[in-house]
Amino acid sequence: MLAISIAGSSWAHRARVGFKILALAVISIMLFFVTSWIALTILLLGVIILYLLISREVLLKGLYLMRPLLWVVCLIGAFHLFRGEFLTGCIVCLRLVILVSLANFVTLTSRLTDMIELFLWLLSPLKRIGIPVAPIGLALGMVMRFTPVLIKRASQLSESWRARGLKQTNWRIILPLFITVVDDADKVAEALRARGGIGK
Amino acid sequence: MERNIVFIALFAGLIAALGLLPKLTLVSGIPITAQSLGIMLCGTILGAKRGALAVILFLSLTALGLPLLAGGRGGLGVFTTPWAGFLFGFPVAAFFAGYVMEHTRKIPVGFAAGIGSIVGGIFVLYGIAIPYYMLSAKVDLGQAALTMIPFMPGDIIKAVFASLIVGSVYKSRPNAILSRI
Repeated sequence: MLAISIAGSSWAHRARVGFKILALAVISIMLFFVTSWIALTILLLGVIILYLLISREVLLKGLYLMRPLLWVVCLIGAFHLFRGEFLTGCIVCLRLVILVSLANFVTLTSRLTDMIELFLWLLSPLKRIGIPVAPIGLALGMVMRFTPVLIKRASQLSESWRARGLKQTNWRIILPLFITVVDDADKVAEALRARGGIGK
Repeated sequence: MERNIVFIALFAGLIAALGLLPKLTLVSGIPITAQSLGIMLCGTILGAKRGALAVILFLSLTALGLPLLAGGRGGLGVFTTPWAGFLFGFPVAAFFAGYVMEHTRKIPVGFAAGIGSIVGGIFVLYGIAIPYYMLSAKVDLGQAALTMIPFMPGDIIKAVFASLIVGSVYKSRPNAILSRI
């Protein structure tokens, strides 16, 4: 399963993931108290420079990730323009773009394994209130292992659908997909139990 | 225990796989993806708690950096957009879809799944997504509703699909409908 992050050895890659997430959280909260569009524009330029400092590749991927946001920003901007609140619209859109691009920056420069490690560490206090954490780690691993398998199976089902001369794939493959997954789930559960189970 | 965990993990994977199915385009020109159908199916098949956990597992991996959302989106950024209300609403939607299934045991499975999907996947989900969008984008209710309403016909179609699929899964694998065990 291919992660979104881009490998590298810059300072942003070397910084601890926990620190990056904490910084992201703090900046995101502080951003809501910035109400001047000039300050926000400067911040946005800062974010672009931040991307550029890492590499051109990271900047391009970052821009690519922002694509779905484009029409949302247009829509919100149009609404505020229509209401005659041009400045509010600018501020809301700028804040939004900064927020999303900063969050993407953290994702782009952090390895998936480090993220998972941090995630499980953050969950570890749950043990004290009686929620087992080990199965969560196992479940995360299983999803990563099985998702490509399921995606492949879905594409095989749609291929056989088309091979029989039927029109483009349609949602009818969902039912057979679910039935095979349900059967798999029983087998995997049995295999886990045979190997000593998950434990409590 | 093992069976529950494996079902939760595999259904989380299924939500991701459904996000890659080709989009259906409605007459209105609005594309609909099968991903939120996956949320409805998780809730109605797995039940309230397990369904919500499967969705949370799927969202966790998305946040940690896997491109599992429809269109290959993922990462922390998607949780900071004004549409993130849908993402935060997904586990709640699955929970209520499952809750309906668990508390309507006298109603046939397929039919109950349809009701559960409408309650969870439409009422609860939009009940969270619309206020979130209003706060995040600073727009009023009218504008928020106007932006979201075009997607509702797609969600009604998905609820019908969910009802048919869960009914058929129940016929061939009655043990798999954990919400009714």
